[in-house]
Order: sequence, then structure tokens, then C-alpha cells
Amino acid sequence: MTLLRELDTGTPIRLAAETVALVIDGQGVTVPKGTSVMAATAMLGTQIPKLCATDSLEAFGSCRLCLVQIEGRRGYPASCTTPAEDGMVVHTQNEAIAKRRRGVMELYISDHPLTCLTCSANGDCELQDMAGAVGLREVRYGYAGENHLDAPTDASNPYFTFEASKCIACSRCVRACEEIQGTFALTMEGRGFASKISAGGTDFMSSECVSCGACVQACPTATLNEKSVIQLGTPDRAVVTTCAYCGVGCSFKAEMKGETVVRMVPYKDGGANEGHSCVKGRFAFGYATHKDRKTKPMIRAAITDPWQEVSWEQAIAHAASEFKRLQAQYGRDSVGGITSSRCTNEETYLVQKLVRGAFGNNNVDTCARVCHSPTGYGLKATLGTSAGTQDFASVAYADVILVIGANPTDGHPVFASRMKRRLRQGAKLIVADPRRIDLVKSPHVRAQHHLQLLPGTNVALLNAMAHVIVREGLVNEAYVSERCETGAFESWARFVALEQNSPEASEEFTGVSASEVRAAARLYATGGNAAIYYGLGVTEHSQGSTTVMAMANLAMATGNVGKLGAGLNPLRGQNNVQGSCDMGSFPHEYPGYRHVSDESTRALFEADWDAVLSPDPGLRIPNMLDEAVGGHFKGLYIQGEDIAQSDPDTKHVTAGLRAMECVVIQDLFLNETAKYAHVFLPGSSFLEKDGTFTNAERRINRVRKVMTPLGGLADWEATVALSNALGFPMEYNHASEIMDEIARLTPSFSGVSYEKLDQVGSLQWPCNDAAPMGTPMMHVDKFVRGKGRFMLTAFVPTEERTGARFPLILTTGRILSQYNVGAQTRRTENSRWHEEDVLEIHPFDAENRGVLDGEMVSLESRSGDIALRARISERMQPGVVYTTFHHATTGANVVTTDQSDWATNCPEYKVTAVQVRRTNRPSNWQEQFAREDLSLTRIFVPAPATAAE
Amino acid sequence: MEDSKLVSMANQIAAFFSAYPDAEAEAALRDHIKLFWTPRMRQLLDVRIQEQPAGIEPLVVRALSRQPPAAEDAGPIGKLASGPNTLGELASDAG
Repeated sequence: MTLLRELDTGTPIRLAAETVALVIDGQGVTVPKGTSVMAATAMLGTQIPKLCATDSLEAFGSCRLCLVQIEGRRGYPASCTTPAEDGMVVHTQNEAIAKRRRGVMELYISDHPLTCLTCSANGDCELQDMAGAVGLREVRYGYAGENHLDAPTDASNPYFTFEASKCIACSRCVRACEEIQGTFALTMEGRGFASKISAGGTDFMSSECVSCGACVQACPTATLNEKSVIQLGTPDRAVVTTCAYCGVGCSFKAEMKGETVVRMVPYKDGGANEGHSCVKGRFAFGYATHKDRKTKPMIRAAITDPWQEVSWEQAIAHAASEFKRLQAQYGRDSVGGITSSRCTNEETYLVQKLVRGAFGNNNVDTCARVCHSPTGYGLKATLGTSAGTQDFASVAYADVILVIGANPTDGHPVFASRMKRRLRQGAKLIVADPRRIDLVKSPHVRAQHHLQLLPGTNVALLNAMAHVIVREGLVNEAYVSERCETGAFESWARFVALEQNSPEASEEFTGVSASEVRAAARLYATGGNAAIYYGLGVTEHSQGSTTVMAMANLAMATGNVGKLGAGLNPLRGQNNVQGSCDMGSFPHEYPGYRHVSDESTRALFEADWDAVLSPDPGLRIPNMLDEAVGGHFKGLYIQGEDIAQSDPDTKHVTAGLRAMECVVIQDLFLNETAKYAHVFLPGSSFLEKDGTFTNAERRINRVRKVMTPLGGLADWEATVALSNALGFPMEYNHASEIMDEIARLTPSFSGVSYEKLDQVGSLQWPCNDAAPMGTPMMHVDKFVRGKGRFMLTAFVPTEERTGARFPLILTTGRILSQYNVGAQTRRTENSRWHEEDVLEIHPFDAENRGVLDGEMVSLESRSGDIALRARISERMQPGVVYTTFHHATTGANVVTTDQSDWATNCPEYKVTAVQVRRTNRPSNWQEQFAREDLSLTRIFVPAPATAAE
Repeated sequence: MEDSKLVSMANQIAAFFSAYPDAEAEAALRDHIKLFWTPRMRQLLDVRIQEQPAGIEPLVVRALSRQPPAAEDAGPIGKLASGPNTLGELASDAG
């Protein structure tokens, strides 16, 4: 598939029921009302010359190149700013128009370097194209006058340059930063001839720019250009694929030269991102070919031995032999597997199939255990299925947005841009978060209510909001009586109406003033379409599942499920969290969220796989580790996960791993978990394989192979080889055949195939006979479970308590430039923005401890201690500190505990009682880490053969 | 696996369901543990209940010590185990 250039209609295509008919260059065309003459012309296949217009931005009308003539009107109006009207007769080309366009181009070119042949955008430059399109043959003004040709180049950003000498001051970059990204980092400084683009008076790297790439994408010249293009030249082919970072699931064109990625360009037809991107997906793909990649299979007898490189056949045979030995010696249930939310649907499906079919147990789990497992439990209990209710586009219809336990501008930046666009249009915002996240107050966005609660009190807060809604008669009774279980609703209404759930009573726990809670509840219930967006600040608590249910209660009570602009929307952390859950990665469920005890479902899989399957739930990840420490769990196949860094209570995790006799790691790198492994299988990046990812809006997107797997096999091929060696045959020639099997066995995927995905781009499950083109919004007329079920959500304070020894609460999370355990982003220039994990601490808490900004501090909990630098920040509230877990050397999870969600064992990362003290040395754990970072990662290098031999 | 861990987990589950009337809470707790715990975990907890019930929430003891009624009504989480054949009209949509 090659499509370097997508259609650019110049101005956005409007959605309107009403249409207008006009004639352009003798051809009739009917377009939605509000469409510009430029876009209407493009719909006829004619491109009007333009420079300041592009269809991702509103019309600006500054370049004067797109002028046209309209019969009955004076002059030469700009086609970008002129709306098409009924009966209009437009001429886009004649001698008078051509003369004027050439005149405009002459002016541009008179102040532009004539270095096209050596320019990085040669062949990919709209200014060059337009000069050709208007027939420019001379510049009468010469080039000796005052000009900008010596303007400096800003190369401070690691990924792109700003060559001011090539700027035509079209403002596309400024408008992209405002309209698409919503950061407002760029501005047009000065007036007239002195006009110039400025990143707020400083260089790009020092500015508020978030490096989303929207300005680079919008720039019509080489002014803003990728450094990779400058280095490698323009690409020669493009393959549409899906980003491997967060759960937004952006579509990109991987623009290639041979097997080298030149750049990743956001794809306009991508349903999730519609042409936008963030710094990770757009630029941070270099990890895929980083020198740290391990591309040879390796084995070792003990974790203290050096790794020995072996063939794939040897590695697979060794792993299979070990798993068989362990099961023979310790029993069928002594081994298991972990699937990855970073791998494709097809790969996770195969790993769970291997565990259930080849191992003969259900000991399979996934990293969703430690992030969104409460979403699965809470939404299935209340609504009937484990999925967000809306597509991302729905936010454009929201009147009230409640963001709770999520930081979209950092974690899900492309969706955050959509949300901010709606907020700039006037939607109201409620933020419930212990920290003052950027959404609370940023350019042209301000939360009406920031409910700055104490970590661990989400349920108390939501019950208090529900209390107000019930006691003040704000329940949508018609909706509830028609769509929900009446008895359960009445029980819930009586429960939340109790005085113990009032905002006044809850204030003691949450720290949020009752009046603020009451106002927020009224706004949510009465402000129009109300949408909830949430993240791990909801789920990673001892009451994570309860919080999800409490949100579902609120949404049902106010009639905010099943319509545009509303719903319950989990912002998934990793690219394929939704998919890995859909694919049966949990130990109690087959693909499609069907319990292993369901006889008809089990019979379906047994018949298809020719296997006898266990009807009993298997072990969750924390249970596996507990059982390993206890000596009952001995072997683990881990595909694309790094539990030694990502999971809580690191010492316990590594104790569990050390206690196992065969740990098989399949990964791009020798990650932290690989230190405790006995077999290493080289992983393949998203660029090296075919498959699908499913994003947070249930959108199934294609992942397409653009280069040969560096290790020789795609991940799914390695799983097939292991399964065959275990005596459970798998035979697939292509990933599409795995999807065919998934569709055959999973009702919600029955209409999905690669052929259809290639035709329509993406599909949102359920996709079946009833909804052959997928389902953007769920629960429209009825809930999946039939009637919606209100659940009683009593607030139970976490057992993780602060006190004299540990007086502060630590909450952890991630930041924009880094991703999860940092295995990918740390191996890119993104680390320029975040070189180390730091501890954010309120000035009051810092002063109490004599801590200065930038000083090393010891962070200690009941689980362990680490040392890291302090950053004094008023984003924090007193009593709460925050850090990230992106750097293995920091070891943030040494400090987190084994407290977990009551229903799912999702760890309580968000509440750890800690103490902070000044220190001048690394912790004992960090010193041990430094030693083992060498001793447990050695690779045997055979001595070179001598000449005598 | 240490049985103290299992007791802690079971007590957490009891804390959630204790908001419900006794019969519903017992059924729900029983369902939950059957749906999500391995047979070995269930067995370890049963042994602990029989041998050393101290520290275990009464709701856990009641729920797991009694035989469920032959035709027990679906409790608050009764549909969690349901497959697409038994959920609702749209259940086949969602698996």
C-alpha cells in the first residue's frame, strides 16, 4: 500500500443535514451547508492552489493564493473563507485569476531560499508545488531586497528543526498548535515584514511545545521538518499501521525507504486520531531498531549463569522440555503464562490458547491485571460488558465532562486534544484528582470544579455526588424505570441517600468541601450530556472495582449511557489493553469474556482446539507470584511484559521469579524480568509483524509489517513453535488466519476479518451479523446485560494507612514523554524531557523536611525504600507525593505495596504510605540493582578461534 | 500461598458485599470466590475456616460453610459468569 499524499480539501468537510448545490467550472456539485468553495471544488477533484489552507484547520484566508471568481460578486474572494451557497456559479481558473496567483507567488518566492535541490523537502513541498501550479516563471522583484534568508535555524528539538529562513508566515503551525493540539505554544510575533513564528520567545525545546508534531505536519515548506527526513531523504513508500504506545490507538503512515522507517505520519483516515499524534507515536519509534535489541534466542541453566546464544530450535526445545519436566514433577498447575497488552490480539490469543490447550490449565493472565481489571469487573456487573461505551468522537457532543483519576494530556494526549477542543467550545469540566493536573487550568481550558480529593477516597466522593443527585431529585426516573433493574435501583437510592454518604459526611475522608461536591453533582446531573473519562487513578485502588461501579451508578441514574456525548469511558493505558482482555487473557475467561465454567463455551473451544479444557479459574499474576514463593508455581512464559519493573512490591515479585525453575521471556530487550529468566526469545516490534490492536473505544486497527523481524520470527510465530514443541499443534500461515479463528469462536468478533479491515480501515466490536460495520456506541436502547444493575458501593477505606512512621501518601503515574516501564521511550530522544524519575512534593512538606528542589531524598514505605531527586511542586496537595516508574534504576515499585482491589487484585499503586527524608546515597535495593544489572545480564561470548586451530 | 493472604482477600470481598442483605451477600461472596479463585485457593481457605476461623469475617465463614440452596437466586453478581447465551438480548454483541 503506497499513499504518501492524502486528499487535502483545504478546509474541513462539514457535517450537516442541509445541503447546497452550486456549479464550479461548469460542473454541478452538492455539498453540506457550511462547506467552503475550496472544499467543494476539491470534492470535484480539482485542487485550488493554496498555502495557508489545509483541511485539518479552519480557514484563515491569509495567503491570497486560492482566490476565485463568483458570478454576480465583485472581486476575487478567497475560496477557503467563502462558504458554498445554493445557486453559486464559481470559476477557479481564468487568465485574471492566474495572473493574480502568479503575483502572489512572486512575492513569496522573492523572500525564500532558492535551494530546492538541496532542500530536505524537495519533492514534498507545497510552496514548490504551488509555484509550479500557478506557472511562476520569473520573480520581477529580484532577491537583493530586504529579506529573511539569514534567519536562524532552531535545531533544539531532538526530532525536528525550525528553519526560519524558509518560513512563509502562513500561520499553519500556529493554528495547528491551537486548533488541533490545543497547547498554544506558538505565536506569530511582530507585524508586517517583521512577522515571525515564535515558540513563546524562546527555542522550541525550552518552550511549552509538547512535540506532538502537528506543526510539522501542517507546515507547507521545509521550515518545520523532521530531522530523520533531513538525514535520510524523503520516503518512497508508506504503510498504514497502528501506534504501539497508549490505548488511543492512533493510525500512522509508516513512511519508509526500503526497510528503514523515515518517519511516522499520523493518518487522516485513522478513526481514533484523525490525523493527529503525540510525541511518542510521531517521533519515538527509534527503540525498534535500537542497539539494545536482542535478536538471538538465548538459554541458561541458572540466572547467575551467562546467557548462551542458541538457535530458535534449541531455545524452543529447551523451553518445552522444561515446562514438561515441571508439570511432570510438580503437577499440571505449576506453570502458566502472561500475555502482553503491547502485543497484538492474535499474539495474546495464541498465548492464552497455549496455556489452556498445551499446559492444560487456566493460569494465564495479562498486564491488564495491574491496570484495568476493575473496569472489566465493574462494567460487566453493572452494564454487562467490559468495554467503554463510546467512541472518541463522542466527546464532541459532551456538555459536561467528568475526568476522574486520569491525566489525559500526559497519558492519552491525542484524545486530550479532542477533549480540549470541546472544552474550548464551552463544555463544562469537572476534574477529580489529587493533583492539579494540566487540565485543571491550561490555555483556554479551566475546570469548573477541581475536586482535589485525597488518594483512596474515590468511592466516598462518588457516593457523595450520588447522594446529592438522589436527595435533590435529579435522577432521570424515566430512564431508570425503563432501562434498569428497579429493585436494585431502589436499594441503591436508599443506600446513597443515607447521611453517611452526604458530601458533608464524606468531606472528612475526601478532603473536598461539601459545597464543591454538591455543585459538581448538580452540574453532572443537569448540565446536558455528561461523559465520564477515567483512568488508573480509578482502578488502581483497593476499591477500584467499587469505583467503576459507582461511576456506572451515576451514569445510569442520570440517563447518561447509550447516547452521544455521554457514557463511561476507560482511558486504557497500553495500546492493546482492551484487546488483550477481549482475547481471553484473564484466568477465568475465554475470548469474548465468557467464563471458563460455562459448559457450552468450553465445549466450543474444546471442539475447535481438539483439547480437553479445565473448567476452573486459574491463577492471577499476584497469585502466581505468591504460589511461586510458596513453592507451588515453577514455570512461566511471559510474552512482552516486564513484571519485575511494572508490578508492585518489587522485592516480592523478584522473590517469586527467583523461586521459579523456568522463566521464558519473549521481548525486544533483556528487560528487568529477564534477569530472572532461563530462556530468552527475541520479540518483534510492531513494525515487524502483522496483526491487530484494539484501542480504548473497542476499535480494531490493523498492524502491518513494514520490515523483516530482526530476530527472525514474529511473536505469534514463536508461540506457535513453542506450542508445537509442547505437543499442542498450531498451524497458521499468516496472522489473518488467527483472526479468522478468533472470529469463528468469539461472537463479538464474528464479523471481523483482515479483508474487511483492509476495506473499511477499522471496526469497533461488537462486529457481527447484527452490526456488520461495528458498533461505535454501546447500550443504545438496552444494556448488554438486559437491565442495568445498580450496585451498592459502600466506602471502605484502604488498609494502607498513614501514621507517624509513614505520614505521606505516595501516588504513582506516568508523564507525556515516557511510556510505562520506559523500555521503549528510554531508548529514544524522549528521555531528553525526562531523564530520571523524580519525586514531586508540595513546598510545605518539603520545607518541613528541609528538602530543597533537586536534592536527593529517600522515599520509604512498609515495602522498601529508594532514593531519587525531589521536585517541589504546587501541583501536589500537602501530604501527597508523586513519582513515575519509567526508570528501572529508580525502582519506584520497590516502595509500592501488595494491597490490591478486592475484586480483581489490581494493585493499589495509587495509595502507599511513605516517609520522605533527605539522603546522600542510593538505597540498599538500588545498590543491589546496580550490581545485578551486570551480574544477571551477562552474555557468553565465545573466544575467537586462533589461527593454529 | 499463605492462608493469611487468602483470609485478607476474602475479608476484602466480604467488606464489599456486606452492604447487601445477608442472604444476597452470602450468595455473592460464594459466587465471587468460585468464579475467580483456583480450586487450591478455595480449598486452603476452607481448611483455614475449619481449623482457625479467628480473623475471618463472619460473612466469609457463613457464606463458605453453608451449602448453597439448590435453586439459589442470582445474587448481585449473578450474571458475571453468564455467557452470551444467557446474558441479555444484546449479549451476543459483547461476548
